[in-house]
Amino acid sequence: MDLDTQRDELRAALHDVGLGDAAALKQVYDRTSAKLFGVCLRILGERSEAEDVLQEVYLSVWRNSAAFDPGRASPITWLATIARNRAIDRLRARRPVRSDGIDSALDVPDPAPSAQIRLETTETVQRLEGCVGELESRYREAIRAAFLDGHTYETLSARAGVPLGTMKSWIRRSLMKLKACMDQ
Amino acid sequence: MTHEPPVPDGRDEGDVAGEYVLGVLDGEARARAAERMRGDPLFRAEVRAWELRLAPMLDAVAEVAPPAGSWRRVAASLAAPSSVVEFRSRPSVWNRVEVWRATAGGLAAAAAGLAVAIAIGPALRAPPRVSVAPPPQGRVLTAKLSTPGGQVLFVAIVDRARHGVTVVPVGTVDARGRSPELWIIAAGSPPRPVGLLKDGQPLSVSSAVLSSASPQALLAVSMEPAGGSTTGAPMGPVIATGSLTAS
Repeated sequence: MDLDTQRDELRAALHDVGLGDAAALKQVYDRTSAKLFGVCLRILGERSEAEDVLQEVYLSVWRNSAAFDPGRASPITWLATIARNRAIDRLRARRPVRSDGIDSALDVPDPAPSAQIRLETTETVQRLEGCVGELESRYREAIRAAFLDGHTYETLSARAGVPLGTMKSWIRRSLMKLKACMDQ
Repeated sequence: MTHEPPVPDGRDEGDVAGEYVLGVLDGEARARAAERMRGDPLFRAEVRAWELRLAPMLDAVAEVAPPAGSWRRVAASLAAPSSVVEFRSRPSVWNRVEVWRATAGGLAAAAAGLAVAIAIGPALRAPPRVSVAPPPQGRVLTAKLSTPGGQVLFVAIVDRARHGVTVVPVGTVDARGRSPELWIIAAGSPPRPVGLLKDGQPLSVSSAVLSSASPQALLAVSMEPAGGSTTGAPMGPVIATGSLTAS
């Protein structure tokens, strides 16, 4: 299925969810849950917590799906963003802060074998990849570890073995460059 | 903008919206940013812009099939009162109930002004087919039908004003050739049969049965011999029960 068709169908399903149609929610779930679970699991590194967050996400979609603006480019990006935000909230609420680095988070079982759902057009993904690729490698690595694995300034600096202030400079520099590059 | 922006260092405030979206803030800093999200529309717009910039990175995250039973948990939580009462008044959804009623052949009951439509998903498994009638105020009753162990197997939504009932299978029921049958038990009365929960089949029931559908009435599902109870009372084991409550 091409990206446009996939988006149109998801948009239509989300519209129906907004009318209280739980079968449409099931359709949204079937299309997107593997992606969203992958995002949650990557950040939380723990299946039962990731499942809790997954459930929260669909419940929030059921209750507030009016919040999806059909004018937004990609419904799956919207959903993945909600899932990531909630997973980060969950991670931050957890104590003590995880300090075992990226390895445990990558130790996730059973990637779904089916065709991966696409979030964005190839151009959009490549554009960001290009901009991230222009960063120095240690900056790039920190940006990815923060966004994809849920690291904070504190855990990033511990992993990289640099002072907290240094890590803050790296990230802030990187954000400035990314913004300039993406908004060109 | 032609001038070079100052390079931030570890002591200055950075692009807080970007830091917030990236997720690097912790503790108090994150709480402050979350607070700004609520009260500062400009900040909220910056956060949205950052989300759009960075979200394509998620494209690379591998899909992982969620645990079996995840959807059932989601479906069960939909029936929590706070969500069930969020009906939306749209005819397109209501029309489905009309369709069920028409295809149920329950025209006599419909003519009497009372009909109940029950839709059950394939083989009593998810995906549940839910159609929620738009709600007149105070006329909607709901019930979660649970096993004695507390596992929710069905959710029933009764809209008396619209004469609609929807039963949503939430758990997986292994029928093994038996017929799940829905019963209603008003206080002080014996169980009345409502109908068999057939695969995708709607059905209609008498006004007498619907009149029993008041708050505190109990709904129950029993597993009966194929074709349903022949005695007018449950013969097989009751697998799930739940009280109707006003929404």
